[in-house]
Amino acid sequence: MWVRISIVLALLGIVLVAPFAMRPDPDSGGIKLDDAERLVIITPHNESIQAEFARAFTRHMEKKFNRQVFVDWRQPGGTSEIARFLRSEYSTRFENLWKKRTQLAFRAATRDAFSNGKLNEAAQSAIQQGILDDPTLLDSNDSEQLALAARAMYLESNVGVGIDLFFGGGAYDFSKQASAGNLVSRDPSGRYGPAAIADDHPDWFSDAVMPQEVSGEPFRDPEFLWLGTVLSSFGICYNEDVLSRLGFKGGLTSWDDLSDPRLAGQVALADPTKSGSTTKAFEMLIQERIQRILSEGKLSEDEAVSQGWDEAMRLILKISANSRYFTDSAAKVPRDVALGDAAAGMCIDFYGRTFNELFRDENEQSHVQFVMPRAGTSIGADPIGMLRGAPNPELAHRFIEFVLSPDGQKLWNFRPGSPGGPSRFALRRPPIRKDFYTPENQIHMTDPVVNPYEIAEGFTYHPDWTGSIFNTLRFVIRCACIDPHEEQQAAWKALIERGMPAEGLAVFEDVSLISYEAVTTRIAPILKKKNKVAEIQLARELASAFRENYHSIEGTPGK
Amino acid sequence: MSRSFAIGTYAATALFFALFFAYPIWHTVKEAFLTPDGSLTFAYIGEVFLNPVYVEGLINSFYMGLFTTISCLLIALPLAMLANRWDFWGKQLLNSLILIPLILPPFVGALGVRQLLGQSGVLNSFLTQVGLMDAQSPFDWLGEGRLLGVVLMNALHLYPIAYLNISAALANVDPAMDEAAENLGCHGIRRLFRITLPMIMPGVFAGATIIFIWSFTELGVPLIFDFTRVTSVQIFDGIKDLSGNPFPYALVVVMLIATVLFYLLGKWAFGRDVGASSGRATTGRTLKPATPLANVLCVGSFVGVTALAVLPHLGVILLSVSERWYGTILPTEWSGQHFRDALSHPLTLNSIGNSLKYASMATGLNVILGVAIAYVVVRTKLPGRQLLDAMAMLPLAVPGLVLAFGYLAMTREGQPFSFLILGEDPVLILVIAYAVRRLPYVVRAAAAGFQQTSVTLEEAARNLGCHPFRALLKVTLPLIAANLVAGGLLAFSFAMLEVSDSLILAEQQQHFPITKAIYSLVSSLGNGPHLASALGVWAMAFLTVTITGAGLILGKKLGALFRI
Repeated sequence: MWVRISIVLALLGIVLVAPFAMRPDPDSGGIKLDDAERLVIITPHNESIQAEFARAFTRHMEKKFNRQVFVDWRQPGGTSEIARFLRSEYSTRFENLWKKRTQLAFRAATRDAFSNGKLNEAAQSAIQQGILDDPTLLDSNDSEQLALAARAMYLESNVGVGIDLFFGGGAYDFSKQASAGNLVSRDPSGRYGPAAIADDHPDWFSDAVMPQEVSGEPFRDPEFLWLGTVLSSFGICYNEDVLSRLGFKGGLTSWDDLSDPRLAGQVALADPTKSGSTTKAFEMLIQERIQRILSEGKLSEDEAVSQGWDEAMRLILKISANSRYFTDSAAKVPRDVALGDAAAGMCIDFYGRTFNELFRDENEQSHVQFVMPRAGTSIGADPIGMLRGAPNPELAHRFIEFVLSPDGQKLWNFRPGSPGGPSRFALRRPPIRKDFYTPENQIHMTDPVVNPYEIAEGFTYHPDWTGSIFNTLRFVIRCACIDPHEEQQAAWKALIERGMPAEGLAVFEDVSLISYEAVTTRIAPILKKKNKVAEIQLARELASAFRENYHSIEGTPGK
Repeated sequence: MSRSFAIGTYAATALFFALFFAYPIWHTVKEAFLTPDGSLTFAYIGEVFLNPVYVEGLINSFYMGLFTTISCLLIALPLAMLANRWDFWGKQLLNSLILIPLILPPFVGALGVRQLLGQSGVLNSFLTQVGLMDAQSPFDWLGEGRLLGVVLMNALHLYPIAYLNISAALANVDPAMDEAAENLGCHGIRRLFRITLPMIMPGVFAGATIIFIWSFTELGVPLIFDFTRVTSVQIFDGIKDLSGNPFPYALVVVMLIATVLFYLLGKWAFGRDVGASSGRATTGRTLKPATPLANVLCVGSFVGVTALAVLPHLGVILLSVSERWYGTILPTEWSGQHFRDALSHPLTLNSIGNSLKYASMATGLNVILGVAIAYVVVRTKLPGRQLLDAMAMLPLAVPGLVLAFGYLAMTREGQPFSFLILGEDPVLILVIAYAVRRLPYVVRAAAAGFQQTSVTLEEAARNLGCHPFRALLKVTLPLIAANLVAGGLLAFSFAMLEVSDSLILAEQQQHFPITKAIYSLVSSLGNGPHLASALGVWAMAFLTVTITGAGLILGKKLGALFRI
């Protein structure tokens, strides 16, 4: 018996001792120093980015200010979880304030109102009229007054959730937070925050360094509620081995290539319903189509927009029919492509480049390739913003300042070990500062040939074409592609087997329900009403119609 | 039975459930039932049934649950019977190893499966190499697997739950019953169906219900196979949707109600009392030493099933030591560096300590609550106890994110349960969250034990002047210890591998449990998946040593508990 006990204990000992034996040295970052000041950052950035910035920033603060700083990263998941997290947190904290100051119940309508950016103007004038002078006098039956009071009280408040900064995501996520009122340009003292940084470094925010927008894409909020720190874009990654097996000669170069029927079941797509940046990538595909039609010079701009949208929808249907899945995990697509589980996919630039490098053989050849589709991509900013009620606004200010400084920018693209570069990981992301792309810096960069500003010039985003139906686009893709994905794949397979009969293809490509006209005159207005039940009903109606359509294809004769 | 004692226990467990299960769920799902001005609506619920996509989702989920359950029973029942009958080579070890499939770490488990079943994965490479597959047209196992693939993978993952419960039940069966049947001329299959199966029904039912509910609501495996038309995936997608529509919460409620209905239906059909009137066994079961043929059969089936079931684990292990692994059966470049990097990572040491702390405290809480609930359900005739019983199964069915966000909201400053966050330390709410989610294993195990243990023993103790609580402690609990060990081991292992609550509630790095550390590492650029796999392998090694160690140390004692 004792023998057994000692064997088990010995084994348990070995297992438990291993991590103790390899315990990291305490100054390698990540461990909380008790006497250090703490900066809390909520982020979807991956662990490599977190580790490099924490290390560099603590070193910077020690060297420049002789201060001990600890970066406390918070990561409840990806951007979608962060959005939920912030919504839930701000709502419970504001609820406390509301109940305390008004002595009223916190109803669902109040919860919707306090974070409603559309009430800003009305709330400001209500403040001037004294709505907050004595909140206990509010009329609990006057829903309009309550809504304005809630918004006004929130905007006036310094309600915080114990987090200083939100770092990483897309411009879409940050504009949502900005409109909800969760981001601030200055702390209550007015001395710290993105706007204060702009006061200190006016030269940084010039067109030569960080333009406010590039090719129609915002690189920062006009009121300094958020600032871009690094750039990103969607491209196509593909697996050369799989492509050649499927009969492709050469690689893929445009979004259109993803609709090739030889790729049936071999395309990995990112999910536009769960990520603003992915929706953006789909929007780019539409805009590229419109631009192409426009450049032919046969149609007016309005006609081109309408026709371009419809053509792009047909293309999206086919790409979706080829796809294996829609995922919200940024790393899944390049990983599956690299492992040959998909031939090609939509992929964020730095993941594509990292996987290309990861699979390089001794001859520097890689079977994973990443391309930016010709004129079909735009460059977006990956921002940072200070949260309302930040517990340590001064430190938050220093961090933003560091990230945007030439030293901070080097971390994004310098080779590990190069002067001022990251210490362990090549982050392979293009920094936002235009003045970073100099020959002196290029010798240290992992991607010296990538100049996003040059790429961006090839393409201009026109917000007036599709910007107002951005959210509708996501909804439309869900109804036409994601919800009826099984039926869509089956119909596509049937068409391929029968040699793509024109009649069947026409049924498959029928986008009349989601044409530009249908979207602008019917779908978008319903969604804008914010009636969630009506939204679900519309989703059902559209998805059912597409299902029927796909089902009917299986009955059509072949060539 | 002392009525006041029963009512007290009942009230305490019901209150715990109301506060830490019903309340946080309601906190999250109420959006789907309240209009902005606060009145009640069922419009979202109605939409679930009007939309064929969601109805199909429910039907597919039902199939997923039903077929997984049947497959698990088909695997576990013969194994448990063999182990109950024969004394074969290496039995103790094989008996413990068979539980290993359960402990697949999250996030990296899916990567391991992809390495095996991907189009350029291990299986296809193997088939190509032996000439059974054309390299130019590999089979797409994950893409074409659909429901069958999901069911198989579920079954190979979950059969240990059935095995544990059935083994405990078999151990409780009085061998005299079998002998009596034998003497009266009832042999073989007939005896199995007439005597053995009815006697072990509580154990079969306990295992089967957990497996059914688990697989009815399983999320990870359908996602691996991109099989999206099941309710769990639809809820997951809906919750993550940027539109913020409350509809997925209606889907959550429908899934919960369906779970309760299926559970009650199952209970009505299979879970009735089996009359444990004879009390515990009066004679010890004598195990037959295995004949050579039986040895081969027993060892073969145990090794075979375990080997098949640990393939995904093997994938994770190989990932953790590989540098390059693409399109070949085995990695082409190996490395031990990932282990060094993972174990020396600043997150690792803390997270291991935290997980041990959270999981063991949660298991303790689970055993107390589980015994209390099972006691009320089996031993009392209080009204509403069936509901409590069904409620105790529901934590298996609730999507993790829903409960996690509920806990988050209720423990914030100014909220009724803010005292559960000590300073910034979420340990209490995490322990409660872990305990609630893992409660079903202990409740089912304990209930099965109570059902098979005659109440007359307790009554005798009480006639002799023993307080009901003392009678429970001194008489019944020792008799159902095997069940509690089985339930507790499951609860502990799964608590170590918990995902959603860990991601949402453990905010600061110094409070991360091991699963959140794995999540963090997976996202590292470059070697992230390898590092995360290495940490996952550590977790598997630890749980393997714990489970087999418990088996080996308790050795005869556990064996004896299983048998008498």
